[in-house]
Amino acid sequence: MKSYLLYPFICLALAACGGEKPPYMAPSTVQPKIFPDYINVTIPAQIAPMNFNIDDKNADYVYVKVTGDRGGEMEASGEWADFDEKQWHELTARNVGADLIFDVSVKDKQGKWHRYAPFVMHVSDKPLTDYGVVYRKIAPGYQTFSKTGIYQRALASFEETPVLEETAIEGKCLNCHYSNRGRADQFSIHIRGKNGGTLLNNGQGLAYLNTKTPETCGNATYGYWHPDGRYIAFSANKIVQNFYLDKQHNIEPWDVVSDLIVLDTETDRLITSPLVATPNCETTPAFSPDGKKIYFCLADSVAMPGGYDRLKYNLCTIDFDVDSEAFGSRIDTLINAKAIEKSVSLPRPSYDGRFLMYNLTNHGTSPIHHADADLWIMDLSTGQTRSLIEVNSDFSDAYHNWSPGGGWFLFNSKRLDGMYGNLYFSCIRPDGTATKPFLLPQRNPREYYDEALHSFNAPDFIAEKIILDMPRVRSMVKSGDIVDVSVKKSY
Amino acid sequence: MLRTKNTIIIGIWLICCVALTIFYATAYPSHLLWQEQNQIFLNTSHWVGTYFDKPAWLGCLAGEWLTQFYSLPIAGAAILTIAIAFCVALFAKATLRFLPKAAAWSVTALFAILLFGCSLSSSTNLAFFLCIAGGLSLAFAEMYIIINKTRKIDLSPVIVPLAYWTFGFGALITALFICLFTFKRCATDHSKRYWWLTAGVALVFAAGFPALLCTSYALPYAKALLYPGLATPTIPQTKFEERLAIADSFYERDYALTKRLAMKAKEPDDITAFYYYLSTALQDSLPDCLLKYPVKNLGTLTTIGETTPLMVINMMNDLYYELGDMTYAERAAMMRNVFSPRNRNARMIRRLAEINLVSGDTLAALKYLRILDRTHAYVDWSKSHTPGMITPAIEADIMRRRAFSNNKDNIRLGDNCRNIILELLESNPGNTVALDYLLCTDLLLKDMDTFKMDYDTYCMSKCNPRYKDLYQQALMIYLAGTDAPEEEWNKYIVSTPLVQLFNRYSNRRGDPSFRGTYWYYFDKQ
Repeated sequence: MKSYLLYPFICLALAACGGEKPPYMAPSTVQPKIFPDYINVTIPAQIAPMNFNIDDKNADYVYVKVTGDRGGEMEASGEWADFDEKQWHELTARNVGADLIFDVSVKDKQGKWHRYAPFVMHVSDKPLTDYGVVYRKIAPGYQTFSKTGIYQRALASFEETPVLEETAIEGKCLNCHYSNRGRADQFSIHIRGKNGGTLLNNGQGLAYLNTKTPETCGNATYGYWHPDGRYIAFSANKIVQNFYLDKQHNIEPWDVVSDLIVLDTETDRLITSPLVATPNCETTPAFSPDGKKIYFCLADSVAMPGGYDRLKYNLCTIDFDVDSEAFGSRIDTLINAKAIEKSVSLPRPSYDGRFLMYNLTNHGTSPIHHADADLWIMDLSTGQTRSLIEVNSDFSDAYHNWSPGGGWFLFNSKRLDGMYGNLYFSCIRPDGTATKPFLLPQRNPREYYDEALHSFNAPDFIAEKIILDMPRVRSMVKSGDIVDVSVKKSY
Repeated sequence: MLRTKNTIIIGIWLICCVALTIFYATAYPSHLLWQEQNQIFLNTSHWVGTYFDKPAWLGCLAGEWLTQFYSLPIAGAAILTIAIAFCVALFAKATLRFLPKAAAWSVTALFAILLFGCSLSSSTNLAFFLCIAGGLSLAFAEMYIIINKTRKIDLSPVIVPLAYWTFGFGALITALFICLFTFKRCATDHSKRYWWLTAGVALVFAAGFPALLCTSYALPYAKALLYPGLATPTIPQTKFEERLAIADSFYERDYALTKRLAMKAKEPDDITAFYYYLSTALQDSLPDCLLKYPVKNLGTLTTIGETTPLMVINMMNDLYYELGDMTYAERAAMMRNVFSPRNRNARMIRRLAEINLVSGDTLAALKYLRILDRTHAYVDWSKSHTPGMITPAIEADIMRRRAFSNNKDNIRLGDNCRNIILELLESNPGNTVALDYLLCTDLLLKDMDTFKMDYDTYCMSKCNPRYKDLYQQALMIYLAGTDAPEEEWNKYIVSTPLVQLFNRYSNRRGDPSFRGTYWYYFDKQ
């Protein structure tokens, strides 16, 4: 009943056309222009076929021969390079740690063949063992939502399935999905609208919580799980947005107020502290891999919206003790971004504790709306920090997350068109440098990315496929059967 | 005799079809264009593949594929007529299997009226009729199999799920007709009592199959059962058709026609007034025409949100685009897109391409142009707007709009149109459309202090006085009301005949013979 049922027919139709091969000719010195730009990227062996289109309107037919450094070869031909999934995985598995060489020939609309200089993709020896990625598909932020949904996409194939769609719960807006290190059975999703609340699964079943209390300033918004799976650090944000005068900048979401809270998912209790619930703005927390401290962003309160360009967030940490369920007694500043007229957002430590990746923008807390938003990385062993220039683009690069297996990370970038955020992957080398990022493969990338009118919002890896009991969620939301959380203040 | 009867039936049928086509083509063309623009169909395998994500793929696919041709003259009327005629023909043929002729034809006539009524609603799409036709076709196929005993086994467990997969709620029609048919056969032939089973199986599958699949389709059961949705019959929406025609003429940039249609409107309202004024503004005659239209609505006091009617979002998109505010024009276009089926609206995708061409965001413009490149109706438009292939006239239009659009990178503090216009004028005081909208809004509100302040700020202090009779008349009210000295009068007022007229009016305030002047409007309206 799904679109993949169509593919056998498409394949049959393509097979019926026959696989035309080019006559022998010497390759030119120019590499082909392909979409997406997969030339010299590093890929995990487990990734779906890296299909690509020839970025030339005069191209009529493409023939690609892929040869592995460590043996094996395969071919693809047609309107675009569409590799057979099984053969592709056999080839990449055989060439782990080696290069795949792509020999591309293109027949133009006049029937003339051109053979390009070959290019390579390097198959990393770092495995990417996650099942896939999860993200929210949403049109760029313009207040309304209509058809949104949280989807999961397999990394080894092109299969995309909904985790929860707005159509299933009618008229509710779905916020981001946060899982505990990619676990399919530990996640939270905030649902907005009438009977809105936080849908939670801590591994012991679904719960539907009202995280807005008289003592806290808003709903639990940006979340990050404690490694033990019991606690989630959230920021409670009251978000508004203003538009810019010119279209290049477009929109600026900002927090009227935001504080840090930690939710105990076993007792449905919020833990707060006056240190992180101040008139200043505390937001986007992330537990350290050992769970003993929380990274977060902190900005002095300024008069908004007029002072929007003075809203600068520093990167800070505060201890959190699970045994006493209490925040630490002091806040440390890790990066004083304000001093360099910048603003930090979305700190994400790698799960092995080696690195911390974050965003740096000129101001504010919403990097996806800032073309100047870049990814930065801090070596936590030395404290040295640098821009990931090998990854960043002239457009927004944000919403990064690490693979629980280590090594790989993903992020959202608007580099294709400046409007819609798409998913990119890269691998961190031991020295902290990153490989050239590659766009999430699609069966026909040109058609997929041209026709998509959504951003891949808040993406993250998932270890296995999420199976959500949608009728149950619907009945929970519809009935308004929601548990009010209590509050524990820690001093 | 039978042949004559059939000829008469076919004759009536054809006459009805021709009449219906003429009705849609002449009385409902803008509704059809609205349908065409409220979706987009792309000729790519990826796009076709997306129809399989929900039930009724065949009904929706065929419906949206055919709807793209609604942009062609007569085509929409003919397609809709054929779809309805096909439904009615199948219905008649099916009901004749289990009802007496007179009853069957009576029910068919009612069914035809019901479908016609549904077709009159602007929210009914072609997929609705095709799902009915699909459901009836499969019911008919099953009846044929039963009658001809071509299969010994019961095929309804296959036919009903197939009907659901391909035609969504059409499966309910399939199951209903199978039931009615088998009941009739059971009643007339007691040896066929086991056919009750067929009816039961059809019903169970019609209700059960959506229940089975609703989770994977991410739909609640009721929605999955009735997918892609039922239509509601309505009476002809002539008023809405009239509004759509005005909006369409504006979309085609035939401003003279827009004004004519707006003036001809039987019941002028905010929509007709809005397009009348916007057309006059683009012809540099808003101040000349402000008092000529019975309803006063410039759209400058409207803000858009989640509950704003679709037509009003279209209007605000047009207003912001023509004023030169590309941020808000884009916002309105995005909102209109997400409120369209499958989040795509052809008109707004075209507008998004235009907006990004004006703002110089070439990468984003190319994305939308590539989408339009894959359509039947917009491929030529897309080519003519693709950077590198743009005609000089289009290039000139883009550059003109770019000159008037906002280029300050400040954040805006509110979303009311006055702020937007002030920001546009700060960015480019030569934007006369924005200037006229600002001054005319002040005048409609009879806020003379604000009018004078705006006139001073954007006309006098820029050494660019705008000598329109309306503004001269309003200034006279202000000057007279503030006992301004003669040099002030000389500074603002250049029309001696108008001064003489004002003096005459001052002696006869409220005299209806001065209707059409701002003085009369200020005093009496």
